[in-house]
Amino acid sequence: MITAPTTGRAVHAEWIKIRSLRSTWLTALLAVAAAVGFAILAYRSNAHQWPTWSASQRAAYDPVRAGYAGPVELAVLALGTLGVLSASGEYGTGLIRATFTATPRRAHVVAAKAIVVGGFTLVLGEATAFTIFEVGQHLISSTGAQVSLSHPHVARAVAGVGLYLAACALIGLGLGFVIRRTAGALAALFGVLLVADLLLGSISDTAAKVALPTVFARIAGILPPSPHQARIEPSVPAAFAILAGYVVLSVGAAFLAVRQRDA
Amino acid sequence: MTIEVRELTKRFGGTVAVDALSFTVRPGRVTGFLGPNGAGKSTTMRIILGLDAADSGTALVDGRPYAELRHPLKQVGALLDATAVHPARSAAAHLRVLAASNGIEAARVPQVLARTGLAEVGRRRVGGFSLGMKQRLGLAAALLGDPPVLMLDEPVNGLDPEGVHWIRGLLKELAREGRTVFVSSHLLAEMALTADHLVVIGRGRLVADASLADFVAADTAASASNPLMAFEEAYLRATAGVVDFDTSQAAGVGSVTPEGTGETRTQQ
Repeated sequence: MITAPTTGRAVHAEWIKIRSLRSTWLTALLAVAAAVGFAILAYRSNAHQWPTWSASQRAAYDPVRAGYAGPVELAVLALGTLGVLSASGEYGTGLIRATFTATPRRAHVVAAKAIVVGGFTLVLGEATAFTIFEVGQHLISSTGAQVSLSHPHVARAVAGVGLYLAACALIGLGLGFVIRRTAGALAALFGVLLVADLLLGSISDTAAKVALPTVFARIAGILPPSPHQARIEPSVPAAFAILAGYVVLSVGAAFLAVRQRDA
Repeated sequence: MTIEVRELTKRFGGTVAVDALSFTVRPGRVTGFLGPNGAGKSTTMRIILGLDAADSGTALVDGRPYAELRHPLKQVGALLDATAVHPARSAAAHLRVLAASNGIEAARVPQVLARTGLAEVGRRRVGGFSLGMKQRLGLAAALLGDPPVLMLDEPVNGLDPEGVHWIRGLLKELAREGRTVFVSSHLLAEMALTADHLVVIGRGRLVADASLADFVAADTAASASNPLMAFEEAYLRATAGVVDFDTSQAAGVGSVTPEGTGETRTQQ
């Protein structure tokens, strides 16, 4: 049973853990700065090339996804790694035994880490997504293609990108608990985040729809998919459901793993 | 508060690490937990702390499984592996994490740092600590919740003579305060000076559960006049049937290797 006071104390402990490491803040800074920096370069390039584009090219331009596809995936890798390390790092040092000795109901530890890692990366993710959006729309204001937050689908895309970042950190956390070795867990995470669309796309169009890169592309965009994209991309609600499914699978596996194994 | 181990058995694959082991650790004295390397001392301690699951048998602290304790750090202070800390975290932050998880007020952190001689280095990263300093930090963590039971796995490892002297005094003082103090070691001389009572195991089985004096007196073949030598003779004879390797061919019974363990692995 998860009781509120025990979980609350475990959350407090995990929060001290994550903020007492300089690497947490370096990773966060790196993730946000790299994503925003590369998004700025992308938008500046878009604005520069806009006059040379054909009408169909302009019509296919998604002013929101343009700043997210690519740059945000850097932040995904950094924050996913943060999630992995917050579990696998404890197994690597042996600290996990002190953690489980202090909190023998291990489900509390997994829940507390999920709350702290998820909350921390959600704040970073939303800050990153919102900053890229605001700066980016300003940079492409010369094209007339810019949109405001109240434009249809825009708020969903901006908030969704922040959510996607937090979800990837939680997927990393679950993999860290299940695999326990940093190198192995990172390889698995990067496989899921980077390679899965190629792999699943080679099986079938339906399989391609559950690949995380495809899910990300749908969540981050505001234009309806082209006929070709519609075959291999899930609908927006399906994209969020698939993302939630990954988190539930990964963190759920972590709950099972800590319950059954010797620490 | 007692630690009660009953018919405890743990297998790792085909190897039996702990074999129907039963003993009770009582308060108010230092109980030494002795046995050759690989005898199952650490495994037994990990099972008591709920880290490893036993295949059968029970290990209870104050009549309950450890995992059911509400605030375990306020009831049992444990030191298993002093190096199991995040190197980039400061000593004080490491202790604040543990305190927060058990509802222990943060004011205890500077207190236990002071009691273990780490007051000056509390804000330094643990990665720069010597093994002796990490042992002191491990003890600080064990003392954090002011627990009536202390369980320490090889706490003397890495300590300098001053540290060894200090921990001997600390353990005796904790026992005098009425606490249950359970200390594993393979340093016989240290146990002879510190322990009031002994639990000796070999190949996961109980070899002796006796006071120090009774343990030595029971060895009728003892010939040494020096009490420490007599203890060592009694220990070696008691565990002779349960070591997985033979020391006599390698370095001579009772001689001490540079590692200080007196044990050298050779082919049978």
